[in-house]
Amino acid sequence: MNIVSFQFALFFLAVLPLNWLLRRQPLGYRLFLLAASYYAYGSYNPVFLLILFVFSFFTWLLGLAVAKDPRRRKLMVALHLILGLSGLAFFKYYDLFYQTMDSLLVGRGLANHLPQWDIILPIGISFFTFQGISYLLDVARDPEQLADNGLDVFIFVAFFPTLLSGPILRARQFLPQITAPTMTRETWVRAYFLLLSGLFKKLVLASYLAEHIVGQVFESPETCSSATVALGCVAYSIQILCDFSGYTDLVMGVGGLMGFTIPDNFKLPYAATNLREFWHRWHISFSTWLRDYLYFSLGGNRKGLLRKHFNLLLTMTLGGFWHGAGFNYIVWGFLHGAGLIVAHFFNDVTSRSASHKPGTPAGRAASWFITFLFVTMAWIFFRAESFSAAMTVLKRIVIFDGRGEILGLYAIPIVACVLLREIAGWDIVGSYVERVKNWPIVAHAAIAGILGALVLRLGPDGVPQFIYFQF
Amino acid sequence: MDKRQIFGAIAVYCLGLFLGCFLSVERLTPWYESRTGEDDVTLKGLRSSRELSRSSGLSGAMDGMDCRLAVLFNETYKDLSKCRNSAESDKPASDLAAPDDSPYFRTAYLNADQAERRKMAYEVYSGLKQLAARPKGFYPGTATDFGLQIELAASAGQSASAQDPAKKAVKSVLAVGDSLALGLAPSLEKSLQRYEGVNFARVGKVSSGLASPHIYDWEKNVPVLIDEHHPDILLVIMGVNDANNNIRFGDIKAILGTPLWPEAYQKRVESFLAAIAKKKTPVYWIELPVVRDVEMSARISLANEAAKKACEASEGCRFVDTWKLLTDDKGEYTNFKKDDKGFNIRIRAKDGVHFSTEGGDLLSEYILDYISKYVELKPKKETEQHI
Repeated sequence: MNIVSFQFALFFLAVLPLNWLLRRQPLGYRLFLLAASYYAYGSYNPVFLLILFVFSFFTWLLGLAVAKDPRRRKLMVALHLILGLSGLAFFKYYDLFYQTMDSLLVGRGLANHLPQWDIILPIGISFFTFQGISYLLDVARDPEQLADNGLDVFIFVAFFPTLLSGPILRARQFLPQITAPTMTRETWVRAYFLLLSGLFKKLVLASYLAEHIVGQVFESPETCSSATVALGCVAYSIQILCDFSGYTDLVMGVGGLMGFTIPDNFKLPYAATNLREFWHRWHISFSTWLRDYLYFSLGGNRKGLLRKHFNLLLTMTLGGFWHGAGFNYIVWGFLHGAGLIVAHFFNDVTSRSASHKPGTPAGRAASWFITFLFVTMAWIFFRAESFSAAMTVLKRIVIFDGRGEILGLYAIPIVACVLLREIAGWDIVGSYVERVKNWPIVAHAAIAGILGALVLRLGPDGVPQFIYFQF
Repeated sequence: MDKRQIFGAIAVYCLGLFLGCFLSVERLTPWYESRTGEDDVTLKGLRSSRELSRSSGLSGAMDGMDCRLAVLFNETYKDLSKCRNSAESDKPASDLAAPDDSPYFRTAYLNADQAERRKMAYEVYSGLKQLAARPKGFYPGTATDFGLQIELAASAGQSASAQDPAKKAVKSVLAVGDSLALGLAPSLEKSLQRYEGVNFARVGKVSSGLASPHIYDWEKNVPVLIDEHHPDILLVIMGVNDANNNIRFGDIKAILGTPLWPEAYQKRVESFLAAIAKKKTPVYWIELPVVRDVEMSARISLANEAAKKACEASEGCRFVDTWKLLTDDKGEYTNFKKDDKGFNIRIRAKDGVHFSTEGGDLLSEYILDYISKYVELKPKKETEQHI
């Protein structure tokens, strides 16, 4: 069930009190949490549960094997990687493989005998696969990381707030919270703010931008003026931030109310003044996963400059490919990889320079602008239906054609406000918690109810999907 | 663990949810109505709350706020028809009057007690389940092919064949509907660029349909859209959401899966088309496609059948059969179709309902080929065609 649906609100009405009533019963609580997670996941498609269970089972079993028998560690890790990644590859990339073979074979007058399977992508598979892999690799590197209770592994892989679109959790941070939750006044005040913030970002901001400018710009760029297309691309940068960070806020809020501290996935990413900094602020759980389990495994920066750059490029390109079976995603990842190489190179040169001085305000502004421009340009490939569609959008911008529809004027204040907030770095959550934490419970309930209803009122009729659900 | 804080967190959630639901009762009630029977206690509670909200002026205040903010939304994903000055009541225009002559309504359903109604619902549902269990290869396109023995009532009023519009030139096309219409729109626009001087506009509402006027009241809004866009023809692509919803029928609800549902839907479509007929705009009702889920396909077939009957009985409407275009050689749902060079092209999106870009292109070309039999679409010269 979608986290912004009324069904989820009712589901959580039952889960929240039970979560705390059963906390003192170790086995009962674990079974409850697992049942709730499986129920939430199974509401999409019961068949998905089998995939989730099988993967969780092998993660647990191979984790045990890795911890108990270090001699076979590499074999067990390889087995788990093959299992997890081949499952992910099959569900996500079989169609791409089929069509590629079709192009190659039919193009040469041969028949394509590959079966035309109708494969339904299990929702969240990219996230829970990566989460399971992180657990096993952590145990392989340090057997002390093995979960004390086998059920914890199943819960870790299936934890319903984060299962569909992350953040990608780390076992060492998550597992202790099963028996040692956090609940203070600040915790739940912050959680309710995050719930409202998430709803507002998704239902009001992201939906508005998607409907009023981004959709039309990317579907029919030829009908829009160049300025509108450019605005639409900038609007998409804001839309995806609001959509994804809004989802993360909701997850953090739900997790917080249950006693779990979910790490933040976004730390003002559009305030970054270079691409390295951007990736320390954007989809943090994903970028750190890539760093810890792919980039470091490839050798990181330990094997010379050329190898470091190659590792960066490969890591980011594969990161793009993870998002979807399309050339446009690969290009998006490749662009970021190439951009990171330039950023690293520039950083290496300037930090070694004897005359290196801290940047001037104008210099920092220019760095910010270039970074934001680059990220927005790369997003075009992420949003477009295909590589050729992305190129059409880009061409439309650079020809400076004033003919066509002018759309989305009301989007400008939204874009401006979000960017200003990013740059100013105002800690809205912290300020809010400090100001209202001592207000009575009734006041907090009134705020939640009234603002929640208002946000629903301003949002679209119907239940919107999150961008990252498709990955 | 601080029990006071735990209690506080839970109390805020319960109270906040209760307050939020009360403030959103206008939206919540029809949503819940479409998913449950009339005897549901929660539904009764919601209706009482809605009355309280209306009598206290709260609903009016919220509507007033919507209307003041209407300019921001420009008739996109919010239904702001109530903000137009209208002498109509606040009930949806598509609230149908109960018919007197329906054999199902009077003898089969209205006089049935609750147990009998449930039995009838189960019988239709069982039919759909049996269909789902049939061996592959059986994938018909019409309700009667399913052996469901549903007879659609003859439409009330004069039954006229669709007027044969004179083959006049088309300068403006308006496509309306649900998310399928939104998905198809870019392909339609691309296909129409091959023709001279044809403007294209689309108005689509995700999750909408004739059974969900609380999301967007198409019957009330389409005449206004016609006045705004002045289309020469109207393309209607909707019904997928309707095939998953109950339909209000006066004070009775036609429950999905009962024999009353197809008739109620036919009445809904007739009422919708009658509203458009006043504008004298020719309508092309696009048949809904087969989908991956077999049961949903069966329900969609019922909706198609009902829409087809309504269209055939309505002035100025033509029904565009598209079912077989998107099935494979065995008549089953397929994700791929071979193009003229023998390549397998993906025609459906991963959700098994919507179209891929290529699927949309295929369907658009088919629709325009069909339409060009009845209207004049003048192809651009080769050099003028926009690629």
